[in-house]
Amino acid sequence: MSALSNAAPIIKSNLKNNLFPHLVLTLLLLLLTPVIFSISNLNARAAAGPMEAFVVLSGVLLLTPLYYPEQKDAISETVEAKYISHLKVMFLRFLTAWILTALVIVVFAGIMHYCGSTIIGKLILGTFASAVFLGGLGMLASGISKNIAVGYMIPIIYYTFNFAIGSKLGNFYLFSLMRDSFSEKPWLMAGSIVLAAAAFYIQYFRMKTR
Amino acid sequence: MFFKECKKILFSIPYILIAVILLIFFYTEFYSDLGNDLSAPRPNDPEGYGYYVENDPKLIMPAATAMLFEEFLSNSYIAYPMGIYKNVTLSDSDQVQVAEILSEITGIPKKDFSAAEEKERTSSDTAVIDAGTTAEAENGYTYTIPDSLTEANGTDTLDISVREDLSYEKFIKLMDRADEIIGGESYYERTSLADHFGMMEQDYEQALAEYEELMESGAGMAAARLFSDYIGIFTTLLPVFLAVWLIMKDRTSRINELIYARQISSWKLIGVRYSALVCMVMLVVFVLAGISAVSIYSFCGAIDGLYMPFLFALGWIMPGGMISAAVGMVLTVLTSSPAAIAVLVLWWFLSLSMGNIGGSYGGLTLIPRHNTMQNKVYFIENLGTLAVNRSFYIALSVVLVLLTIYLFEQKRRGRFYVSIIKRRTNHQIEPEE
Repeated sequence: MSALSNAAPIIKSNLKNNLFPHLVLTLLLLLLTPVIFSISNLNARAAAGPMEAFVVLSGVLLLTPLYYPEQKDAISETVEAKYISHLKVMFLRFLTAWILTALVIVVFAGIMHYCGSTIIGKLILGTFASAVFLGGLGMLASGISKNIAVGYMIPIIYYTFNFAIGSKLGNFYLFSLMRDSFSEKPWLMAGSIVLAAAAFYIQYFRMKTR
Repeated sequence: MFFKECKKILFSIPYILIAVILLIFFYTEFYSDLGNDLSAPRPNDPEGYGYYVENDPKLIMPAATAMLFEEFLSNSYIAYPMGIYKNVTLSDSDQVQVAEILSEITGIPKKDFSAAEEKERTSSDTAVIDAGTTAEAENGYTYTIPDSLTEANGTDTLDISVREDLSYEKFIKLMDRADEIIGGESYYERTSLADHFGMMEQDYEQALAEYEELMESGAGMAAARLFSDYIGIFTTLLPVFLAVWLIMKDRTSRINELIYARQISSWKLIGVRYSALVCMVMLVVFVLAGISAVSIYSFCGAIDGLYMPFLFALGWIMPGGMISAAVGMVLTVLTSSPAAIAVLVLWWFLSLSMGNIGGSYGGLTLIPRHNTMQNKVYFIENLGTLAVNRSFYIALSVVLVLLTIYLFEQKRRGRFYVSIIKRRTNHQIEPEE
């Protein structure tokens, strides 16, 4: 129980000071989706279009800036002086971002379902896997480079390459549901965990060795 | 200071990534196309000789009907409202209207189409529409009904050929109606029917004539257009990351205060940084233009126009890089956040999905397209439009850089601070007055 003490203020502070603008951008992304794609009366395969091609970007927006505050030296120094474990803070931030990404996807899937589209569990899980994989790429790139611009650059380039050379990406193809295939999704999910863990480790190691 | 900034950029992660990405894109997309287009066609090539557009009703009518039927079955119609890709799903009443159109074209009762659509929707099997090759299109198309659907329809195939007594004028009107039901800018828009459904396979003689025409009209310019088309896509996107990195690096390393306090003018600081950024991006582009020139010579031995990739890099590609870098700088200085990335990525995404990739340079399109070595006449006719478009973005870039200088100067004086999150910053200082 003690491990969870202070969790609420940490999550609240993270939402207010770190995630809020990214959440606003994510909501704008969702608002823009129906402008570009139809979201009504779609069968399961067609419903994968807006989810995989657009809603997945919520992962980039919500996960990439996870360790952005510590990239500023002033904040990093302050964090080091704090008694509370930074590992715990980082984990709570990560958990919040994952839950928010899932929530965004579920809410949008709910809206599509309300509009008469067929939403199946695989669609939600598959979109989430692609979103957190892109987000994991962003987290790792941001962690390695210590720069948020590089953090966004890698997942966005990977996303655009999926349009150009998608079939060559094998199990890490992001838009497989649009081709009626779910087999890539466990790979993306596993990849996202590896990427997030690596980003987590790099950030933690950096803080420890400063 | 200029060379110091260039050196800083040269060894930065985002710059190295930009160079690698452009190189990959150059080889995977442009270089392979260049090799194909600049090599003389060989007789009996098993891979064929490509396609050309023929405005032939006998070709267009059955192909468009088959496509409409296919989209009707899945109730998934592709359209480009405002140039943006959209997958349109119609209401039941609109689907009935499309069934009426198909019925008028083929002579098959409307209820048969509606029944096929209903079965298609509820079945796990997928209908197969045998389109054959485009050359066979005038023989009509056959809809092979999946096993699970044959019971309802009684047959295993449905001939969806166009009625022989249907005139092309009447057909166009039916296509207009279909386009209107879908919401416009669909495959059935009368102006794009030939582009979508009038594709014909070329034979060896046609391919050879086209190749000779290309050689006579200037391989250098043709290759430069294709080079600019491909490389322009990413040089319009990537510099924004470099600009955001450059500005935010000062902030995250806490050297903002030091820079603010220095005597150097904001004009000089921002001007030099912006110039260094654009020059370094163009350095990669010029290296690729050099490889293009060598490749043109090695593929077809052409000497005339080998300077064209360099000229096009300056006139076509550079304005895209300039606006990308300028948007990155102004929004990062203004918001002290990476918001510029979201703005430019969205703008880029929308622009890329607009217009015809075979040749579109007009309006305010951020990314001009000419994804073919052919079509020289169209390019020359629209060169003025392209020049206006590119000049506009150069001018806009200059305005945005001036705005960046103004904002930076104000921040130095502690007069201006905008953040998406309202918070106190330690570098805010009181105004001098």
